[in-house]
Amino acid sequence: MEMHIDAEIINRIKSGKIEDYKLLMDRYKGMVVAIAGKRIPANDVEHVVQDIFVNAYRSLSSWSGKKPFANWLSRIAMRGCCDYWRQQKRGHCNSSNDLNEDHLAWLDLAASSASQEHFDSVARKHEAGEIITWALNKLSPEDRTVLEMIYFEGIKLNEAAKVMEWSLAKTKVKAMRARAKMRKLIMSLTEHEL
Amino acid sequence: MKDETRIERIEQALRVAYSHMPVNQPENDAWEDNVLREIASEKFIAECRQEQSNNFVMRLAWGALAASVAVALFCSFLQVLRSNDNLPGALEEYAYPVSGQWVLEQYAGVDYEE
Repeated sequence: MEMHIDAEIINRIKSGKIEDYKLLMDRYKGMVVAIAGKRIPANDVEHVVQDIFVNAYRSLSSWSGKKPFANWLSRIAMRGCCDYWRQQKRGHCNSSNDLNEDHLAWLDLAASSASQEHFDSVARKHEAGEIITWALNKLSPEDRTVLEMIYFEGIKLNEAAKVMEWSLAKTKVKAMRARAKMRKLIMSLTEHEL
Repeated sequence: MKDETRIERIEQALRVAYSHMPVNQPENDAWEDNVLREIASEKFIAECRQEQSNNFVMRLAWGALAASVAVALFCSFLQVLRSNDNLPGALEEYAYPVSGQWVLEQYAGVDYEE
């Protein structure tokens, strides 16, 4: 039913009623903002979301109508986020603040947590988010994207492969290497404590 | 605590932390107007048309290349078939002089029919 509605709107847009694109934006802006908002710093979300919707419009003719529009759009959104980090790396605007004693103390706290409740309360501390941001900023845009998708969000390998337009084998290897890099970064932090 | 276990616990906590990380919202809805303004602009429409025609030309070029490769392969296949057709005839040319009777007549000098 959803696909039918999307297909109808897209057909109207293709036949020249471009103002109907607003209907698609209204239907999917929540999803796109959720994808970009999780991956992009607050002050850049607006631009990235705008670019994602413009790119989606530009490639609207490539949507086959066989699979849900939401899946197709979410791939464009994730690639948009990856492009954002690529541009940041290119422009050397990657401001990764150094961590301090509080972050090291958080690592100690996380390592000693035994119960799920304790994990939850520890995870809600702002230091956790800062450590994740610090570690992700140290990775390449591809490693970062693949790690977020597979490791943090639990997206399946084959779905991640489609998003990145890689083969399944390449995605598997990339995910493994990205995780190893993340682990190395955490180890480098914990060594400070030893 | 072993280093390995320690890292695993930290990783697990980071995964939980990621799920709690807030979703940044755009500060205002201006982006919606900007998208609609951009896709309605003449410059953007012209760019999209140019892109579509470029894609068409590219597809056409790839199609022509694929077709010519297919024709070349088909022709060489026909060539192989034709050369195979000639094979029995070519063998026949050599078949007669090496027949058993001829060899006996030439070298043994014996006429077995007698």
